[in-house]
Amino acid sequence: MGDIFDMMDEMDRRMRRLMDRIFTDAYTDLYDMERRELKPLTYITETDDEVIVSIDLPCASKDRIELKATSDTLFIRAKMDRCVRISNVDFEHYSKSIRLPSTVDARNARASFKDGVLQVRLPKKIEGSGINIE
Amino acid sequence: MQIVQYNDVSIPSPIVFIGIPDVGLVGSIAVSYIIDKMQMQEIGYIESDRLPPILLVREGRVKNPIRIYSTNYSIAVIADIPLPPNLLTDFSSSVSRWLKGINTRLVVNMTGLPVQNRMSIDRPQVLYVLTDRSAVDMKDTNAIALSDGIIMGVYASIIKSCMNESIPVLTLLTQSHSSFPDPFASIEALSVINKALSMNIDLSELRHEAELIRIRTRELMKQTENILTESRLKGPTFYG
Repeated sequence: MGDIFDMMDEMDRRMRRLMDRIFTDAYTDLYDMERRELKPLTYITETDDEVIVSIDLPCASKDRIELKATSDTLFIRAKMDRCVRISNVDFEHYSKSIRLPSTVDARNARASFKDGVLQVRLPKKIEGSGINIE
Repeated sequence: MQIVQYNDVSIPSPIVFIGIPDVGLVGSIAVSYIIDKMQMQEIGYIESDRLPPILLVREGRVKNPIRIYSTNYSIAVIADIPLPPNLLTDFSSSVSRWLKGINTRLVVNMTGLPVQNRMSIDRPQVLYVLTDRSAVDMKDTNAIALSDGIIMGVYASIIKSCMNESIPVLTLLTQSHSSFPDPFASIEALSVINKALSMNIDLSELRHEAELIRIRTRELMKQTENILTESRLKGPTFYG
């Protein structure tokens, strides 16, 4: 019987550690306090031939977004239309470098922006060479 | 888990809105807006020694993360932190027992239905699940009844517990972003609520403030996303 209670206590301890980490990570993943920049929320999906990166940029407009990509990283910087005060700090920019899950052909990337969400589609670089079947 | 009330609930048979952080924060944003627009008063909170030790400071006042609000004919339960998966059953059964005790007429859940092509959808579709068809007349709303599917996560737990207590539950599932706060999905859900429950919540302020709400709820969205990932509930909260 004691074992069950020990197990439940251990589960609670693990959950508490997990919650601590989740709250700390959420903060560090979203703010660069030193540079007073917001790191945008991102969502990455992959198809067989593309990496699709969605970036949440409320209060930003298309002509104020700078986007650069290498074969494995996407860089985004955007100026917001207004200054937003969070925890007594004023933020005016988004900035983030996003590590991509696959090697991409950055030169053929396409991007679209709608309702404050930027979507970047990066074709995967095909590596290796085809093998003929005789 | 314990429900602490500052005042007794004297509403004869309230409608209760529940907003727990979930996909797209659709329910959290909607219920928070209802509390604000209906000028609800805080009447209590929910506490557990298994909840993380967190208090919120809002406009200089300390607040519990899971609070209960009330107005003359309805109640709202809102959480400003995602619920750890090991607390879902305890939370749902404690809340539903309390709801039974105050003779709740209807529980309203609002959640997101994550869709990959959300960017190309101008007006998200609302689906609904109603556990007692006589509880609400949905025919004049634009919502579509969900005929087949599986609901997962915190709202599934609430539906189950309320069914055990014979409390009718209306759950709205609105197409939404999975990982970004989606106040436009909340607007569609609230439009359905306005028609279904003959309410008159003015949605213009939510529409106007949507961008700012998206920024202010980023941290809660990230925490929720992390919890869903850790508890392997990431992905749809609904299959059908």
